[in-house]
Amino acid sequence: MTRQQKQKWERWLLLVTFLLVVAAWGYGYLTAATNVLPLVPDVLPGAVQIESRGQLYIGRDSAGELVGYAAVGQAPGYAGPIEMLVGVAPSGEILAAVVVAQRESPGFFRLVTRNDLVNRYAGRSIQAPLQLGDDLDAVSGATVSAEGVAAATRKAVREIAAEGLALTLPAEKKTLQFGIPEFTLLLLFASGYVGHKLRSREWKRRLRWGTLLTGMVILGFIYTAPLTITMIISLLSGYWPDLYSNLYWYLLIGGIIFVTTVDAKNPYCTWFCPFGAFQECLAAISGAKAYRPSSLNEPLKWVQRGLSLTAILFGLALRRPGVAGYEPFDTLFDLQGTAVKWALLLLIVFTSLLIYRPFCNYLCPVDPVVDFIAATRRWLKETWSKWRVQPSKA
Amino acid sequence: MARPTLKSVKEKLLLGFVLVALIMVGLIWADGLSDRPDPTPAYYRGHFQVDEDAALTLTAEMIEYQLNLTTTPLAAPSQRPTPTPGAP
Repeated sequence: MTRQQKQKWERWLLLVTFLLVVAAWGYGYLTAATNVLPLVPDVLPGAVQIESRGQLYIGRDSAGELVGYAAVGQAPGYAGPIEMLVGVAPSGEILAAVVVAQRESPGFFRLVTRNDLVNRYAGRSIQAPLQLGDDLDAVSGATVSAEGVAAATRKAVREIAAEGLALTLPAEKKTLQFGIPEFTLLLLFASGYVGHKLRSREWKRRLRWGTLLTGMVILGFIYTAPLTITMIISLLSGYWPDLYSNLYWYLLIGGIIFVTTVDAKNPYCTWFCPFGAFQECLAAISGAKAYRPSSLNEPLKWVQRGLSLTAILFGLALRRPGVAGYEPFDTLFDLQGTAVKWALLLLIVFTSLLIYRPFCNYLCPVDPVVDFIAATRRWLKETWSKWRVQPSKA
Repeated sequence: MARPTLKSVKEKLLLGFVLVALIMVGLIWADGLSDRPDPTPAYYRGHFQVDEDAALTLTAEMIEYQLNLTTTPLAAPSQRPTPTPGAP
């Protein structure tokens, strides 16, 4: 196959991939709705008649007496919006709360469930802060998911207070959270940019090790915030987290897309991916070298791309970004994971002692996404150049 | 018979690694899909129909947010076995 034929073939595949992603997005959009009505009696105990008024459900008992009001609140979690249905008595006491829908990684959400967070709302007043770290205990290991549950509950309570009880609750204060992970991320992006420009190979190597270790320790082991396919699917699904509490998400995703699109360079994988850094540390200890046999190089590259595309289509079609993710990052950095995830992690750890970065080279779903952006960029650039030349010729 | 070279063994090991990892990814997805959210503890229903004359013989099982109770009616006093004297 000539270079031109190969390029043509790859561009057809780019187009097909794009169409598949659009189709999966559309399917997910049309099928992701949740029917809330059957759950209303669960939050309004004793209600046998449910009446819907705007965003509010009004429950009455068999005698026609008002039992309470229910409403759904939605707030961003780690992988998508979390929807909570909350029931409130006419006295302003929360009767019960249930999770209507969530798109989180099963491991993370199990922590929220085990923590009994949802059960802790019953009996509280709607005028209580209902804030994690204030009147509710935080959930260690699933902070973003737990915050999503709490924020969605507060939204539902506000809806009931305003529409059902004619009460005005004080406005919530929002502050932009800029802390160590955000600062570190910006520093790592800047170091990567400087590193790409460095001419001295020795200094480049030193800087790279510095960024890799910083990424592994701070973004990996301390904050467990590596880039995942779940984040990319959430981005494509339109499930963007709250800017105030998740500035990190925007900096990470935005930074990578920006640098890859403008500079055609991958600023993340080689420079500060925490999991990549971990594998590289293992390779440095054992002396493992890169292994990409020429006969298998191309087929395995396509297997990796197929795996990444399957995860994206799967996550988009089901609108469950958290379920589509398969990277064992949380297992390594947070010691959370199912038996299969532990087995996958052990397999990768063992292989990393023999081959340089086996996960990155053969399994990581992020690398093909960066390839896709880079290939689309090249195609667009070429088309733009041709388009600019043609009018001048005319 | 040609002996396998080190190169072919390494290639097979690499293929094995990818294959096993792919199977594990499939299992992770299957686990995620089968993972029904635990019934949230906050809900309760106030209108269970309880048969006072029934004895519960099986543990209550939570299925799709509904209690599914299997019950066996108590035997009438005349049909209950009479304890045998001296039996443990």
